[in-house]
Amino acid sequence: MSDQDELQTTPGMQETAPVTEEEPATPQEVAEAGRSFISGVVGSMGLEAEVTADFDDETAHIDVVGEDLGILIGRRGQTLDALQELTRTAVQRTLRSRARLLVDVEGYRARRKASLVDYARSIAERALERGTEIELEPMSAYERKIVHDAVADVDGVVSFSEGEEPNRKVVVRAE
Amino acid sequence: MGSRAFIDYVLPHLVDHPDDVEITESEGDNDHVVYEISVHPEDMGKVIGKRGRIIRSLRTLTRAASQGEDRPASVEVVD
Repeated sequence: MSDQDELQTTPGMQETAPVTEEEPATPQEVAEAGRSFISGVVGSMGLEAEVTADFDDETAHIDVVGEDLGILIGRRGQTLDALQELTRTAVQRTLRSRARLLVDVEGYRARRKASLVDYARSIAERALERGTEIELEPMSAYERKIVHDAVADVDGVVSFSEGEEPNRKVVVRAE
Repeated sequence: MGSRAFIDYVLPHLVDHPDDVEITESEGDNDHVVYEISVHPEDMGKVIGKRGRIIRSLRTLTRAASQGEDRPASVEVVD
């Protein structure tokens, strides 16, 4: 039902990086390694951007801000998702540890999250009114999680994901 | 700077044997530049990734990096 597991431990992580459970890297180490990697990416592409990193108890956050960074976001954030995937892989390889990180460019994810929450609520209301189920467009695991959480705030509807990546999508259904 | 510099920078970060990374340019269909990447046999699965996640991400970003260049760039893994 939930995409939570998928978010926290990306399937295939074992294959893409050796995971040592004894000494997992701290979010601070992940943040610094991620910032360093992305700075290199941005420089190699010749983009003018500032890369900053922050972290909370579990996750490193790396933010890229600058001029004309739309090419790092791409259609529906696909390029941003690719950047995050490569960053996670590179950081795990560098630190020899599992890494939890989120990459954002020009606040795209923050804006997208706010509009996704609004959208998910309106879909939930519509499913409730019609007593039916509504299938949404394909989304990343991260975005599906945002939708599930938003739908969970509305009484009388449930949500689940179906289909295979990269076409996995959320279905919202009246109970 | 650009798509070639991008792939040169990123690829060694994704493998266990960065010294064995080789990248050559060839002509693709539709006037594409194709970066043919060759890695140590043990790293083959790593650059492809489970269900092709890594190579797909590499292609997406390489294409993005080639925006503004004369020709779009793509990536192929060779043995």
